[in-house]
Amino acid sequence: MALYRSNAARDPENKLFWRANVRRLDAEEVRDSLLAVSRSLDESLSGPDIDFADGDKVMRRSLYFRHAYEKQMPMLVLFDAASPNECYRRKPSLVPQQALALANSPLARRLAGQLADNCLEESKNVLDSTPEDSTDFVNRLFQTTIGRPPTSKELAACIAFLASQTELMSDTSSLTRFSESDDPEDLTQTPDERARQSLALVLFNHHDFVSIR
Amino acid sequence: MNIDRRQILSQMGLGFGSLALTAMLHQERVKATDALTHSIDELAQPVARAKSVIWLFMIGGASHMESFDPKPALNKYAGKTITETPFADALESPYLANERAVAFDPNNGFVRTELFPMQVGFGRHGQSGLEISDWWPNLARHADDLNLIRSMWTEDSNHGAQLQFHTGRHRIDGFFPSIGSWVHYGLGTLNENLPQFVVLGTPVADCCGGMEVHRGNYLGPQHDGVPLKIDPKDPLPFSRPPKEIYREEQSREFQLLRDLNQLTAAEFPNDDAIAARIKAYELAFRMQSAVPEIVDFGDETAKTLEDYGLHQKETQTFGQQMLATRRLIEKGVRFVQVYHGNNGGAGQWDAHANLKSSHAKLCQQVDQPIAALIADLKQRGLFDETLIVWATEFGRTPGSQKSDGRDHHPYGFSVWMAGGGLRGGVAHGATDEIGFHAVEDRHYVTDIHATVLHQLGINPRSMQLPGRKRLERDFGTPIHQIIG
Repeated sequence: MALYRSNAARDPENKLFWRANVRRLDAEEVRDSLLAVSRSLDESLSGPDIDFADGDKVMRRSLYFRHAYEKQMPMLVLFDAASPNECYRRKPSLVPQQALALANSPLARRLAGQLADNCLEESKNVLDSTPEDSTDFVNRLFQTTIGRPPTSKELAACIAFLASQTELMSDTSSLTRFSESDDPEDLTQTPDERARQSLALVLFNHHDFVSIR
Repeated sequence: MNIDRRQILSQMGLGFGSLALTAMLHQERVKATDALTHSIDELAQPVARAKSVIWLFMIGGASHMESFDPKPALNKYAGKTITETPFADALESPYLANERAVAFDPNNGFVRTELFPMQVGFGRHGQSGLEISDWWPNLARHADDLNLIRSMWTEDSNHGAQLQFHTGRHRIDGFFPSIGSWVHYGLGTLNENLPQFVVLGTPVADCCGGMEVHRGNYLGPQHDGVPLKIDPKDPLPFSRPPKEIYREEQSREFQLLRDLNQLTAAEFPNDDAIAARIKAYELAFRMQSAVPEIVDFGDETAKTLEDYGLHQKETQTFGQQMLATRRLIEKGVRFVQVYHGNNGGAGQWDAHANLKSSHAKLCQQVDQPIAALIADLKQRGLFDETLIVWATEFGRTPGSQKSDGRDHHPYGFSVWMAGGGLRGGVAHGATDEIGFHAVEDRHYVTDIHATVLHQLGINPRSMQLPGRKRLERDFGTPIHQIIG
């Protein structure tokens, strides 16, 4: 980090190419990454194209879905999927609808639960890890989603989040729903499971999940 | 003027595309100070008279002769072929060569020569005495606010003309940014909690341009129209989390996300995109509550709901859309595009047969809600700063098809515009006596775009992206005769 800082001070625009330029993942990579890091990706090859409307259900790579001007998966469109009509270079955009798609899509939430379960399972096999200590869990989550361990500040923030979120979800009687007419949930998750899922979802939405530096 | 790249990014937060425009405008100012090579017209930024646009589009091709361009000669010569009338030269006109067909359609898109009488009466309305058909009784009360443009023409004799009306390009040319996207690209935001280009109603079907009719194309998806549904529970895609999630729960997730992204931003101060992403998430979080509120009419008075026709079956759907439109405009949304008449294909206004009954029904669906919207905007002092456009892809043939209908007609048709600093009470341009060709003050569809942009204070020529040369005709010319 020290080297990064000194280089950044001398050449902030990266004119001398002392580092790679940061780029955002392409649309298909965003969706495929969600599937891959939660070990849900169906890696089978080839076959007929798949209805774009099944993007939430069929766990194949995004490449295999139908993509025509009137048939595009909303999530891919929001992340600048290729134009079916011309071969210009894609231009990455940054719009709030992308945030909504990653934060609110049932697919992302479901896969976050899957990812959290995987990380917890692995962390149980570590001898010096106890259920009360989520350090190892948070470490794994960071490694899996953004490819690096958390800094001490990040670790502290995440551990505090897990504790407070678990507490929040232990008594949901005073919490508000997005719509009053929503059915009361069938709580199959324990509060701490739910908190871990939330944390995994937050990391899916982290800037570095959709960026490569 | 010294513009700092990071400053722009952090202020805009969202639009890398809008960055391009800001840069261009800046360049333009620099040029303007020293270059004599540019004409005044190329560089002038018009004074903004309007802030927002309401764009009402009737899908299928509304008849000009039965709406805003009466032709008594049709009644006089009904049943005769055009060659038997004094207007036979319409069939020899060079304007006929403007038609460009995509694929041969054996049934539709022909010149029909046996004249078909007007299917509805006309009256003069308001101080201006504008002639409007009897199917628009409510709208006719606002005659003095309307600017009828009776001399439109387009190229596509099939429903690809729906796309053409919005992009200015024939279907064969491919897809281009829509007018709403250009407006979105050219103007900053007035309300950070809402999308600025909103689409209501069921969009044009895939046959005729589909979603491309409100897309930004090469301007990027941040300039796409955002379709909203009149459903407070599910107004836009991903507008809320799965239903088992609590507000407090999600609010803390967003808080942690913000904290983590800020820690990363501190590590990488040169990565402008992090600040932009943090801002995008803040906007997304606010949109979650702001968008459902727009389509929740709980705080409207019973009289308002009545005025917009929400209590009658015929007017309910379009009335809800007009009311939502007013709520969006009130909140500062720039461009609201409302589609009427989707039927999964060419559109309900496509009256090849039964024109009388179908047009009467369709006019009834939209007449009262549009009139209510105009009255409501006036009452709230928003009419003068809101430009309303009523349009359709083409007109209908003076001759009959299947004995009681009219075919597609790209050679002459009508649209109207109101508010937004336009004059009102004006009938501009004219078709010939049988409504065949636009003959006086002819306007291609991009003249409507240019007029819209002019009233918003944008010079269309300032909007061209590097590597994306636009044709002269793509820019159009503002219709100065209707500008107040």
